[in-house]
Parts: sequence; structure tokens; C-alpha cells
Amino acid sequence: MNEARQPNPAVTFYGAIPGCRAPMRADPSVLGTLPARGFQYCEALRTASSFGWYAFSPIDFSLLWDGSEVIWTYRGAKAWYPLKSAQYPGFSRYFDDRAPKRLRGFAPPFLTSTWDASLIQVWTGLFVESAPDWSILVRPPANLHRHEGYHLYEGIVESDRWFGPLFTNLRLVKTDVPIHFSTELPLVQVQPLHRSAYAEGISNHFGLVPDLADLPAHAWSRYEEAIVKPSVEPRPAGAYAASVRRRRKSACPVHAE
Amino acid sequence: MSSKKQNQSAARKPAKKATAPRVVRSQDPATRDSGTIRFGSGSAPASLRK
Repeated sequence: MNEARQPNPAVTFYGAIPGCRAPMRADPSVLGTLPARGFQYCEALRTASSFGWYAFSPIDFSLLWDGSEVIWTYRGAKAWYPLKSAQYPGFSRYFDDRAPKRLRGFAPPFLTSTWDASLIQVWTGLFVESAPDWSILVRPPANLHRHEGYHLYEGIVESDRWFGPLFTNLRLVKTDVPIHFSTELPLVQVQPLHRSAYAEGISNHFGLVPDLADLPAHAWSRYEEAIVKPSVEPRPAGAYAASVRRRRKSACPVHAE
Repeated sequence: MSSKKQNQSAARKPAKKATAPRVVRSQDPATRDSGTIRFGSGSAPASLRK
């Protein structure tokens, strides 16, 4: 966690658990797991994959749900333990040694089994805050295949107003199968969202032309440009990708004058 | 050693037993949590928690 802070970053992560893997910029190749063709030519795939940052579990751990209760273990543990609420190993004392006196005893738990036993909260070992009017979308890593034994929820947090642990919620969906979480694979992808992007007014209002017969002339022209011409005329592979990259280099859409 | 002998020797070896995970009913002292801090849906009323 030694990276220098950039001037006015949209999102700032704070490492809390010692030795916890630092977040990293999400990767257009999804850590080398994308098919080479998609990585090279599909800018839509690359853009979605590399939007935001990866955050990791602070330790290798495993969960096992038998349908009524969850047991867990972690790297270095000698057994499996019933999970209600658990601190990162040794973190409670570490926290108390560093926190202001009035906050001792209030270390955030690493794993919590909620009122529904199959719903687990996992803390990444990070705190997070964002610049005014920026929120974060905490979601499964884009385009990364993961274990089918659990479902990861998404959430949008107004982290400019709420400072706290960067955590996620997951639902265990397979019983009697140990599910392993590794520090080598991202647990979540954190994406910066300007509040204006998901304002009610934006989501509540959308245009719709229900019939092809009503497609306006400009839509037909755009279809011709984007789909028909590239199909009938020779064009270099990855033309869309190149145009997106040129546009991206030209200006920042948020900070444009 | 001939491949036949190798096969015989492998056949004599007892199969490695699959060991069930050792489950301890008590909490791990290193990860014991007081339950004081809850966030997100974990902060649901205690009456909803098991």
C-alpha cells in the first residue's frame, strides 16, 4: 500500500489489514483469462473489463455450507470453525493498537454470516472513500469466470458520504462443497460512478421507437455506417477498437473544459 | 523395474484415505469477534439474525 496518491483521485482506498494485497487497476485482459481475439479486437470487452479496480480477499479462506450453517477455515488454520462473525486473524489486536482510544474494540469483522446463514459478508481489508458526487459500484469482476458455488451481489455505495469498510455480500448456493477464495484472484471490481450517471431522472426516462417502420433516417444512416459498410467493404480488423482508443486519448469526458 | 512389477507394487499400496475436515465447535481465538460492528445488511435488526 505504498502508492503515492494521485491529485484528486475519484476513489481512495485505505489499507487496514497488514499485508493485504493492494487494489489494482482492473485489467483489459482479465488477468490473461480473455481469449486473445477478444483482448485484441473487442474494445467493448476490454473497456468493461478494465473499468475500475480489483480488490482482493486479504487471506485465502474457504467456506462450506451444509444447508443450515456455514463453517470456514483460512490459510494457516488447523480446523474448520462455525461462522457467525469472525475477525481477520489477529486483526482485532492490531486495530486496537493503532486506533484512537475511543475506537478500540470496534474493528470491522472480516467475515459475517448474516441473519440468512447462506448470506456472507466479506471484508476486503480496505476502507474506501470517494470524491464529492462520486459513488462506487462494487460488483463481481467483469468477465472473470468464478466458482459457481456462490453468487456475488452488486451494490452502489455513496462513498463520498459514507466512509467505511469495502465489503461485499455473497450467497452460497451449493451445499457440502468447499468454496475457496484466493488472494490471487480479485474478489470484487470497484467502479467509480458519478452520481449523475445513475440519477433517477436518467433511469426513469428512456426513448423507445417500437417499430422498425418508424426508424428515423439518421438511425438508418448510422446502421449503414456502423454495420453495413464494414460488412461489405474491406476494413482493417479492430477498426471500432481503434476509433474508441483515439476518442479516449483526445479528452477526458468528465474534466473537459 | 519392469512395468508389470511397477503395477503390482502400486496395487499393493493402500489407497490414500480422504480425510474429512476437522470441525471445531468453539471459536478460533485468533478470529474471535465481539459482534459489535455490523455494516450493510449485517446491520439488520438483531431479531432478524439467527
